[in-house]
Amino acid sequence: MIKVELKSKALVVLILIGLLAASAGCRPNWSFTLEGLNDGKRAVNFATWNAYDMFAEEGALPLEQILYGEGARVVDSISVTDEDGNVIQYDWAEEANSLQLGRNGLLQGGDHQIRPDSILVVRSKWESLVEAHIYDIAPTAAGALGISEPSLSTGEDLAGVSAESVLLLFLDGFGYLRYQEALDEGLIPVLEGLDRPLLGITTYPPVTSVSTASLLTGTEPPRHGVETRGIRKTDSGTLFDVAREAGLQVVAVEGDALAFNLRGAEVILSGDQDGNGGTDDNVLANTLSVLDKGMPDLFFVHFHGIDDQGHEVGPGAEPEEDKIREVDAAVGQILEALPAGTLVVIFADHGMHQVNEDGRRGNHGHLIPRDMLIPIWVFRK
Amino acid sequence: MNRRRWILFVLGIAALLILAACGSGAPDVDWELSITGDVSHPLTYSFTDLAGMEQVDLNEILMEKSTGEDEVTSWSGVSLEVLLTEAGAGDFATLTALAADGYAIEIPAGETNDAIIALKDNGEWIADVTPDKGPVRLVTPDTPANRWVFQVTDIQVNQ
Repeated sequence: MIKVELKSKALVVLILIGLLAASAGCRPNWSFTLEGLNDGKRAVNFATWNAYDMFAEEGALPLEQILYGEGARVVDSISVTDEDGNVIQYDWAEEANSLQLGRNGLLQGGDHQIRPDSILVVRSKWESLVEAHIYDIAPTAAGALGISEPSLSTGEDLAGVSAESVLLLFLDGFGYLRYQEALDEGLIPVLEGLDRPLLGITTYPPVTSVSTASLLTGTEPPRHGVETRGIRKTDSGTLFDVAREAGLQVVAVEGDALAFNLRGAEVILSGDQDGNGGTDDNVLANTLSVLDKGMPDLFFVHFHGIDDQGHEVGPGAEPEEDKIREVDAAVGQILEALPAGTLVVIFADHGMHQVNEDGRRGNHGHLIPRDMLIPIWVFRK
Repeated sequence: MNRRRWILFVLGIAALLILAACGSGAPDVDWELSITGDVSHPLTYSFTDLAGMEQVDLNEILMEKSTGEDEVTSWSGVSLEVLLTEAGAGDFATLTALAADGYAIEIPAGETNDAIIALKDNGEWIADVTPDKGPVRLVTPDTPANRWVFQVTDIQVNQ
């Protein structure tokens, strides 16, 4: 009887060892080197892939999710060397949307796949010119108001001044390169009359919910936890939380919808009540109405129209240009109505690039200059 | 009534109560939806209240998505018009729909025709198949997806 029990136990142990060995054998065993990042070469293997698996769909994840996580911010191109020594160059603006890294280590793009031996990331020259980050906005506003920065903040105070109040003027989708073009085309006389904006950069993915979380928490996506488009709130402390706790009045004028939870603010939605197809005129009316009653300590105003038109007709198309003119004029009216002593921060959350997909002519969401670079104006009225 | 019959009677009543509770097959969900704003008597409905009301089917309706391809899906739930009428809403300009995570949107009245508070997605309880998008969702046919507010908690009527 005892012998039988011992044999059974030994059998169980052997089976467990066998299962462990089998599972170890099932673990994908691949690796390639990633070059061109801040600290030189690094190995990417299944363990790396696994650290990003929350972004994977059907066994593959966007390669740029790894590139961002490993330090790339704006990418021009990548050079992939396969196991046979063949080198393939990918223009990032063309391929960012399609290149996926499979769980099996294969780089998949369109109808082909490669097993990379190394990937050289060619980063944009713009990266070295960046002067400010979207996550600097929260500490800048907090510094001006004399309140604490949000608890997770890693950003820097861009102004270093105190102010009676702060206006955060949010121009959705108005990226830095589009700003430069609009300047050249004479579309933005009001913004042109201000000092040159800082060359800013947003966080990845460059979409409104993620960018808004970054600007309100003063830090980057892995820390504030909003890393994809579908998440609409953060549990991390925000600028509005701190301001509200300090007893300040926080008011937010939005378009018809809240792209992100603005906990701590008194929110005023601006639906398209006049049925003209846009909400920016309603946002302007509500903003002027608030200012007429008295400038809040912290005032957040969000214009959506440039982004909406950019998606629909594409950057550079006439209706989008008209929208840029309209928003520029609205900025002028707001600045005029603003009391002296206000710190003004005008910024975009992301840019926009041209596409021809699903009835859309513009989109954003990639590590390319048009999507990642943003203008940030900071000045005292 | 002898003791045996009494026990059988009590068990029978208990069985009927259990069957009544499970009759709709609705999941046991703790959720409330309020109708507020410019109404004569604001109301709050529990999930069980909504599941017990007349259900309207919307078959193969279009959701205009902001990313990816538009979707055609089927939903069932309670007519929004019925809820607004019960709360005493008259003519209104817009509705503001609020979600549990703080999302909010103001929707023009003209875009809420045929809208429902959906409890089922393609015949399945939303609470069961996509709990992070439920248990109830505002479904407004043929409008952009940002009007389809999941985890909706409040409908505010604005005149």
